[in-house]
Amino acid sequence: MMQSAARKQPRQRLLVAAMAAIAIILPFAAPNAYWLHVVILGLIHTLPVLGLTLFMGYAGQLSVGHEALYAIGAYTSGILLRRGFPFIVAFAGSAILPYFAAKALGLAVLRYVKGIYLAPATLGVSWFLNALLTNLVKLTGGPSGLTGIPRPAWFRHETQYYFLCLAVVLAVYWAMSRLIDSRAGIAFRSIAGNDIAAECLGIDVYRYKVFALALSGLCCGLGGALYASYANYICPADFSREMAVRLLCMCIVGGLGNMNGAWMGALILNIVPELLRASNRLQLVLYGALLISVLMYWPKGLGGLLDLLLQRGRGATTGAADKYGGPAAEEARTA
Amino acid sequence: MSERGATLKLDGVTLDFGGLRAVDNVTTTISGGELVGLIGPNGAGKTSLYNALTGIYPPTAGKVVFDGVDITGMPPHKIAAHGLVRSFQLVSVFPDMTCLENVLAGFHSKTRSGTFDALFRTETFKRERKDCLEAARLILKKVGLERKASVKAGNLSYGERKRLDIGRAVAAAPKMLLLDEPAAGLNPVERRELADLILTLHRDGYTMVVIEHDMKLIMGLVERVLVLDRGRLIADGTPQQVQNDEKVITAYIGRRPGHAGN
Ligand SMILES: Nc1ncnc2c1ncn2[C@@H]1O[C@H](COP(=O)(O)OP(=O)(O)OP(=O)(O)O)[C@@H](O)[C@H]1O
Ligand SMILES: [Mg+2]
Repeated sequence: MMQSAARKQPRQRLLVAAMAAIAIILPFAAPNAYWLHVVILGLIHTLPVLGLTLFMGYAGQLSVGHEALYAIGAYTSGILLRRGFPFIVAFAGSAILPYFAAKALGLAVLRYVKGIYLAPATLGVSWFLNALLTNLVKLTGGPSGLTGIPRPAWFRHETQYYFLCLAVVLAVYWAMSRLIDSRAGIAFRSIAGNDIAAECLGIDVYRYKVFALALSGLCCGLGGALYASYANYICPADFSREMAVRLLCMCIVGGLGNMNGAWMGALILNIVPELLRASNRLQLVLYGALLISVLMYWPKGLGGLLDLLLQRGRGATTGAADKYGGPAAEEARTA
Repeated sequence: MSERGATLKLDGVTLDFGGLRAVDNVTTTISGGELVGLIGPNGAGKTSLYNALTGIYPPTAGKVVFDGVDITGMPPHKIAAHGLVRSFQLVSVFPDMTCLENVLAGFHSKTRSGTFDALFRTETFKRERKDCLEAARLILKKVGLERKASVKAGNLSYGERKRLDIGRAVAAAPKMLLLDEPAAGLNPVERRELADLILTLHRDGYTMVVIEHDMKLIMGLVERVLVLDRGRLIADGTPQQVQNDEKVITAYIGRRPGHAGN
C-alpha cells in the first residue's frame, strides 16, 4: 500500500505541472482570438458548475435553477459597475448577494422539500427571477438588458481577462477542496448518502443543506460577475432555461461530485459545440450523441476518468479514500 | 470518550400514524449500563418506538426524558447530540464514503472545527483531525473493519455494512445505543460475531437496547427483555421470565413466530 501511494505522487505532480504549463501557455498558443474566447467562457462557467458540484454532487440536493443565482451575480456586478462602483466592490457584491439570496431560498425550501420535489421548487424560483429581470426595467434594463458594463482596468485585454478568470477559478477550487476535505465536507456527503441517518448521527441536515446552497450561490455569483464584465452586455436571455440545462450537463458530463469534473465539463461543453460547428446541421445531433455516450460509458464523467488515470495500479476500491484527501487518506492507506 | 451511561425514561409514549396506533402508551425506564433486548412480532411497533424516541416521528403523546433532559419533540440531530444514538433496520451506511469516512461522520457533534478552520488548517482543525483519525481507527478495529478503512461502504458485504453501521453509531459517543435488528439477515457465524461485538461494547460500558427477532440469540445476550405487541409493552423481565410469560407466548403463537428481518 505504501508503495502504490508513493507511485501515485510523482504521477499526480507531473499532471499538475503539465496542466499549469498548458494553462499559462494557452492564451499565447490559441490559434485565434475566438478560441481564447471559448476557453474564457469555459472558465467562467466552471464557477457555477463548481457551485452545482457542491450542492448536487457533494450534498446530493437537486437544483434545476442554478442559472438564477448566476444571473443574480451578473446583474449585481452589471448594475454596480454601470453606476461607477469600483470592480472590487461589484465583485464582492456579486459574491454576497447571491450567497444571501441562495441562503434565503434554502431556508424557505430545504426544510420540507426533498428529493425530486426540489425540481419544481427550484424551477419556480428561476421563473420568478426571470420575471423580475424582465420587468424591473429601471434596474435591469428589462428584456433588452444592460449594456456597457466595463471590465476592470488591468484586465481589458482578452489574455489578461483569461488570467483573471483562471485566478478566480483556482481560488474557488482551492477553497472548496479544503472545505470538502473537512468536517463540513463529511457532513455534506453524509447527507447525500442518507439524510435520515446523517440527522441521527447529530448532523443538522437542514442547516448544512442551506449552507451548501448558500456557498453554491456564492460560486455562481462570482461566475456571473466575471461574465457580465467579460461580455459587456447581459440580458435575461443569457440566463435562460437552456443555460440552466447546460450547467447541469457540464456538471454531469464532468462527473457529479467531482471538482476536476467541474472544470473539465465546463470546458468540454464549450469547446465541443464549436468543434462541431463545421458539421453544420448535424451539430446538435452529434452533440446529443456525445452527451449520451459519455453518460453510457463513463457514468462517473470526465473527472472520474482523470481519477482513474491517476490511480492506475491501485485497487479499484481504494480510490475513494482520496476523497478524504491529503494526510488522512495517506494515513488510511499506510495504516 | 464521554461517560457512557445515562437513563432513558419513557412516560406514556404513544405514536399514531393516522388511525393506526404504532406505539401505545409505553412506560418504562432503561438505566445507564444496562443491556436490554426489545422483541415482538413483525409490526409490533419496535422500529416505531425507536423513531419516537430519536425524534424521527415525534411522539403523539407522552414524554421522553434522557439523561435528565426532556427530549420529547426535539429534532433528531439534537437528540443524537445529547447522546441517544441509533442504528437502522435497513442498512443505512453512506455508500459513496469509505468506512473511515463513515465513522468520521459519527464524530460530527463531538467536533467543532468550522469553515475558517477548514480553509486555513488551524490548530483546532489539525488537532481534531488527528484525534478523529485515531479514534476512528480504533472503532474500525473494534467492529472488525480495520483492513477496510479505505473501502467504500457501498462495496462492503451485507454483514460488514451492518457492523459499520454500529461502528458509526459508536463514533457518535452515545450514552445509549439503540440497535435495530443488527443481526437480521446474517448467517450463523456472522450472528455469533455480532453477538460478541455487542457483548464487547457492553463490557466497554455502553448502554444498549437491541431489537432482535431471534429468541435464542437474545436470550443468550441480554439480562432484560422488553416485549412489544401491537404497540403495547406486554412484558418486561429476565429472559426466563419473559419466555414463560402467558401473554408473550400468545403474542408469538397467535401470529407468525418472527424470524430474522423483513
Ligand atoms: N411511517 C409510517 N407510516 C404509517 N405507518 C407506519 C409507519 N411506520 C410504521 N408504520 C406501521 O406501524 C406499525 C409498526 O411498525 P414497525 O415498523 O414499528 O414494526 P416493527 O416492530 O419494527 O416490525 P418489524 O419486526 O417487522 O421490523 C406497522 O403496522 C407499520 O405498518
Ligand atoms: Mg422494525
